[in-house]
Amino acid sequence: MKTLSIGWVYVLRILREPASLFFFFVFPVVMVFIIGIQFGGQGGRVELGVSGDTSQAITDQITENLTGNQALELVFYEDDDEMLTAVERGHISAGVVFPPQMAARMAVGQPVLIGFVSAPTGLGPQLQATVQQAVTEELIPYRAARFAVDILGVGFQQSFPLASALADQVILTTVAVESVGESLFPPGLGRFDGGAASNLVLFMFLTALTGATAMVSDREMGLDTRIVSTPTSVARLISGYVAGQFGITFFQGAYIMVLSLAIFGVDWTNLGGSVLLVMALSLAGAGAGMLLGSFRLAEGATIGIGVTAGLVLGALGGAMVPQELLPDTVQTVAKFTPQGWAMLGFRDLQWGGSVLDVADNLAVLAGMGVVLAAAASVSLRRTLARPS
Amino acid sequence: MNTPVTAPAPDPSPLVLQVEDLHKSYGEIHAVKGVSFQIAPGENYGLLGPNGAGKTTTIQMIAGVLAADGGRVTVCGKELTTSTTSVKSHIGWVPQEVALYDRLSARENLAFFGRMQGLSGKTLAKRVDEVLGLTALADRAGDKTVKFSGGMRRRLNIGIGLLHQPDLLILDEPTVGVDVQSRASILDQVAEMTSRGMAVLYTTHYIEEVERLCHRVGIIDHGTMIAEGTRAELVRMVGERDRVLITADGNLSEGADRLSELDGVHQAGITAEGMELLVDDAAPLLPRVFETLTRSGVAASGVRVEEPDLEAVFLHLTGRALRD
Repeated sequence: MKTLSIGWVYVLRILREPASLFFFFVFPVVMVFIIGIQFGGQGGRVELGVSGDTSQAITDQITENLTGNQALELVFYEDDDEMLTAVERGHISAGVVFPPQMAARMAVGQPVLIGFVSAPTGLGPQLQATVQQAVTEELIPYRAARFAVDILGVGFQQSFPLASALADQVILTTVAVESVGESLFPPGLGRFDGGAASNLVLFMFLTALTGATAMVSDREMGLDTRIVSTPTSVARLISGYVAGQFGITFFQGAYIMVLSLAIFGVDWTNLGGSVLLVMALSLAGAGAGMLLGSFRLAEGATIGIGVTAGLVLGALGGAMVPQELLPDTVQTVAKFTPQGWAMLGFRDLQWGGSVLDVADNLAVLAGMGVVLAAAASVSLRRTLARPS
Repeated sequence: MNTPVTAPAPDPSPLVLQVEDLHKSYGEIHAVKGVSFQIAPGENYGLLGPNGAGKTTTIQMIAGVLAADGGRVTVCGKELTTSTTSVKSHIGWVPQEVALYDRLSARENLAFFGRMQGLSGKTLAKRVDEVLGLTALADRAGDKTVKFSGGMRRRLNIGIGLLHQPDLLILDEPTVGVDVQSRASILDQVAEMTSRGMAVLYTTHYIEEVERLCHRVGIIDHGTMIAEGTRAELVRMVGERDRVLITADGNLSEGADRLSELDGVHQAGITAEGMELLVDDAAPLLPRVFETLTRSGVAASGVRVEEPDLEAVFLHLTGRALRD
């Protein structure tokens, strides 16, 4: 009960600090957006715009063929200019413009021009080939029917149904593409997904570490000593602080997850597993923050050390650059950081892992939290024993 | 004339506080060197000493927030250490620096510290209301304490120490930086608490507070208890004397000669308004003084007794003023 009381007061006083509101609520969202954009070009689904006359049966078929490609996400525009602007500004990778009356014109042998626009750099050529193939599949019966009209003199209305019926039997020659090596990003991962996960880990831990300032402030105001003068042990006091900081860090983590899901459509793949990872990381972060707060440091020094430690541990743990891209030595060091275990856990979940697959990550993170909290208790007892 | 505080009648119940040979060092500095004293139920004990004398260190060890290097603190018959949390429920410690949560209201602060003392439910709510009334903060109960004046914060600081109705209230310089009205209110509260049987350990720089409130006084300097007793005992200990100022007319020279021959009168002189005597203890001597004056043909129209204060005692014992 006392633990919860201390934790609740810890949360309450931080929430009533105007500056904290920005740090805890607004800042993480800003960072999700900024870092999400930076990660957008890597491994995400490619957005292809579609505009023009999309009400025709043949365009339905073509877009259906394109939708079958898991790497593509179609974005429909009512206005061609709007789509062109989106391509120019990089909001989508390329766009397709369907002209009107495609089937009627092909039936009488008139040429049909399907527009394709892309930025000078990026995935334009690859997308053009993909679109070309989707269009070609649908043109087969038209070409066959026109062949019958031009060479055999059979009417289009008679030859087209037959050609359509036989189209499925036509064997298309395609180039099989196979990637070798392990991809850093699993198929289907959204443009914000990877960035949001690392952003989540980085900022949750930073928040937890800088939360140590609240503890320093309490000590400087004599509140720690006053609480310890009651029938409340130092261990209980620390457990209350950890509970409060855990609540804040977990709330921030959940907040980022919900917003990233709602605004950017981040696919957390295994939401339950992700929530458990966020909980375990919150506990480890709270323990680390309270250990930092238990040292006999001034508030300014605590903020400086907290931010620096948060960034360094984040970098070492793969919360800035994926661990797979880091040297072997750093990957080994990452195993001693909460961020390292959290990032590996998120990676496993994004690759389709279950909660059981990240059980070791959860256990290690929770264990780190308990050990750090115990160390904070010993440290605070020593700090309080020294003259103020 | 200062009214001496009467020591409470001997109480058959065990002592509330027993401090025995307390020691504390910080590195090379021996801050507290064998301090011992005891406080009975309903007794107000003043701990006097200049800055750096070891008062706060002693008090923090008694409050159980600082571990002693040696010696023993017993509260209500139970030995206290920093880890024996249950004994602490007998103590209400009011630290020198106001320790409140700025962003919490007065009521929230009281409720929180009440929970830390183990109170809950209706008992807690009742005590919070009572203390808000006692500290005259009921009408500001919902305001955040950051908006409070220094005096209000001090009152709330004391109120927190009273929440759980402790057997021993430790007040460490409770009136520092407080306006006159709040100070008077605080002193009244302390007197009220001792009258209800609560033992109080009171430290202050203000001699007049100790003289007004405390039954017994301990003087601490350089970490050592250099003297202890009631105010009268301390005065006698250092040989300080009462001064009796008499407004009189008549044969003053004859009167002064005869008074100087009385036992207990050390000096008798003539002043512009009458006479001035230096005596051991004025109260029992005054009837004989007036009888002698009448026989000497001196007509006395007024008398004022000035007893030596603790400041003089402190100066005598330490060679320096309390606030040096």
